[in-house]
Amino acid sequence: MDTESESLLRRAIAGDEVAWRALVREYAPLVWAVARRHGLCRADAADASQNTWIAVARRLPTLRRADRLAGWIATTARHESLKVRAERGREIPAERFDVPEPVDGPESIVLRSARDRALWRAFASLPERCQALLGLLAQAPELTYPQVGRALGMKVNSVGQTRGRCLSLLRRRLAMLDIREESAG
Amino acid sequence: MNVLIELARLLRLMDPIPPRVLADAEAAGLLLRAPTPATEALILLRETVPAVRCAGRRLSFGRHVGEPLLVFEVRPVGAGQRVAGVVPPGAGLTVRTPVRDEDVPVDEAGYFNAEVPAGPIRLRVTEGGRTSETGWL
Repeated sequence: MDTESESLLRRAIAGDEVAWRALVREYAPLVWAVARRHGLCRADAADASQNTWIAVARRLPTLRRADRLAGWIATTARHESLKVRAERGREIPAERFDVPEPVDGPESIVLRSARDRALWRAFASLPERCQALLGLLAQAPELTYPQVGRALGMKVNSVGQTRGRCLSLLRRRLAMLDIREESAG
Repeated sequence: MNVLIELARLLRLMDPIPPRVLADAEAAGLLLRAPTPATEALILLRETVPAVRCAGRRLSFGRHVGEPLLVFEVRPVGAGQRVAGVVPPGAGLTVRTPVRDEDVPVDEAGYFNAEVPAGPIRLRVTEGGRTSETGWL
């Protein structure tokens, strides 16, 4: 973690509201991504996110290694996501990553280009494990493989291999839709 | 195209963080300035319960035996919500909101699909002279 981030963290611990908000803006996408990658619907992901930030605020002063902040937040988000999932327990809603229907709904407005729609369709067709891993890697590229492993409950030494397999599968599906990558991802 | 960068962009578009989540996260910072149980209770009280939890969840209602009387899903659509599902063929369906009741067209196979305002709803099924109604959802 660079000096600026270190300073931000220390100021947040000291109760600086501006610093805390900056931390939230930086890591909220990570917390959200971990919750959603655990199969929580948006309402439940919101609960998990809120619980995560309360836990982070409560324990932040005990954080000794500032360079572990991202991984620590990701792990906290996983624990809170699992708790919410256990509480809801009975069923995992099927809301996640549905392929947009060809109607004038929000999806068709948001995904305006054929390329975007093809990529989304290819992503949505991947196995759930691949969606979870690639989604988290895409949304939280700052995480190391061990941190990704802990955040998703995967064996650390399988993260790299699984990433490779999932990316390869995604590229094959994109190729079937006649979409080519211009550079390696 | 770097596929992961593209994917990150699409996920931000398709699955944005609700503003309420960011507001709640920012409010949690109060715990750093006043770490008391009362503060935590205040933060938790800020949470508003969504009208429909986990939209897209399939719900079914019915009697203790036999086929369910009503199977449906609710999904947010724009500023409202879409209710879609199936009732026994020939049954009638009314979607009730706190402000009005709305009879929903049901096709000959029992399928229906309607957009209703956001907020709590309950569904009333009329079949063979009997009326059954869900609680508020």
